[in-house]
Amino acid sequence: MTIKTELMALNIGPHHPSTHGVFRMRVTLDGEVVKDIEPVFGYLYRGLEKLAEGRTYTQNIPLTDRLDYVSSMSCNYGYCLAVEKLASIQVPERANYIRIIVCELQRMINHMIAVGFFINDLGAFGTPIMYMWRERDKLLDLFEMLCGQRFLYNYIRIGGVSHDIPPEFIPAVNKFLDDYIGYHKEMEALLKENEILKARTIGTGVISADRAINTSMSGPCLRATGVDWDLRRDKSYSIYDRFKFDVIIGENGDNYDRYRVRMGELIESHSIVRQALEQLEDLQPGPVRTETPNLLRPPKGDVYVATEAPKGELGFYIVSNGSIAPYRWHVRSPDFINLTALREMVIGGMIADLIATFGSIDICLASVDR
Amino acid sequence: MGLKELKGKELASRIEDHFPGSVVERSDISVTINSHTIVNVMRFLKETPDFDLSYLNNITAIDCLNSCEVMYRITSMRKKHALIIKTKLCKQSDAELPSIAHLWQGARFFERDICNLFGIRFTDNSTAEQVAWWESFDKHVFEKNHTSLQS
Repeated sequence: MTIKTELMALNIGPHHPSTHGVFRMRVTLDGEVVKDIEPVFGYLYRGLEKLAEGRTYTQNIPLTDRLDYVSSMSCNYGYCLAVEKLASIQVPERANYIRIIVCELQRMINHMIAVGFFINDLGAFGTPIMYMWRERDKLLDLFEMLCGQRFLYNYIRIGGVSHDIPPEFIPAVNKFLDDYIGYHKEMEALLKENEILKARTIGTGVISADRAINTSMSGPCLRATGVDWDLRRDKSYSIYDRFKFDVIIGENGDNYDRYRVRMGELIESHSIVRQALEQLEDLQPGPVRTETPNLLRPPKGDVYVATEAPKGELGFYIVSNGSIAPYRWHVRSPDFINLTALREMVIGGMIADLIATFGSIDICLASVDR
Repeated sequence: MGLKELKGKELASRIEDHFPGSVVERSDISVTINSHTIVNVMRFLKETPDFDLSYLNNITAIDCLNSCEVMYRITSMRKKHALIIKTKLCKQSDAELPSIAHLWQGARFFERDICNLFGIRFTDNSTAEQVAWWESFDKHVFEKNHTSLQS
């Protein structure tokens, strides 16, 4: 005999520890089974796109820091590439290498936080995140050495980077890279074959490759479904074609695959930084920034430039009318779009898996709401 | 080999062959399509194997004072090429554009965002709820003539 149950509406957030910021989900439940979910955005909306229309191109770089504050360097980078394309600015060779090094280190920071908090959301409170936090802190020390900031860097500038790397930076990065492999193995030993982790993540939060493409997902979430697409390789912007790296893909598009893709990308980023440092050593010292006017006036026109940020495709669409401020400044935020696919991934699953799936998407609410 | 930008001028003639009168403007990097045929053209670009533009990267709008422009960025992962499609709308209080959410589910939230910020309504988009604002808020703050919330 089937027992008729009533549906229950449950409000999760905006101030819930597992929403990673201020985000709300209206969930319709049948017992513990998720029947429907509607995301509610906007609690951290600051109108950055509108603010940018009243500021110069250079003044907008710090705004990009505040998009995805977990990976500010990557946001700086995406924006500067877009302005450089719009204004046809060439970047010195040395600056290109420095940008790749800091962006890949930033990807490592992002993935450490993503995996750490994901495991935290699964209920392994404290230990895994602290292992990740420890390594991340070393990288923040390196960024502090580089530009004096640990979080919001404003380091990558239009035409290059704000200043050259200090002499003690490269040995410090090399030391980090040497030590990191051992720590990575430690993390893998702790988590990879963990029975509870696998029971909670394999087969939960599944999305197929076709659905992921249809919902415009990108980044590790898309690759976890088996779609072999990485803008670093497939668009090969900047100097990414000079490095050998694998694009890590999953098979099933479940929570476990998303976690595995990020762990794999940590090693690939490690390898790219190593290669970039070796190639940088062979370069003669030179300028790290092309002189550009502070009041830059790109020619009239528009440009869409996408980069592979740690969370996915970060696109900047900039329209110039020839003045000192952009006429339109739009950010294609990867976590906003990945988050809209949450509904696809959780309907029919258990409510406990909803929290795990939400954590596996890896979002930063500042970037979602803009 | 990197991602190739399709030449707007070449593509425009292919679109014009299938949908006469649909191309309004063409440039090196984009094609502007008549707003009435935008859904058919997008379906054509998505489903024709030659183009295979099956991944929707982005949709956004630009307020051009007397008119509004909506920009679509689409990519083919298999053929490794991408394109910008635009469409223009007269700016009036009941500006409407057909939704492409039935072709790409990802379009749903892009369109909702544009609807809230620019006041462009998308017909057939199942939800027109606010994305970033509260429910009763009816101003469109990204319009160039928007001055303050009190006005």
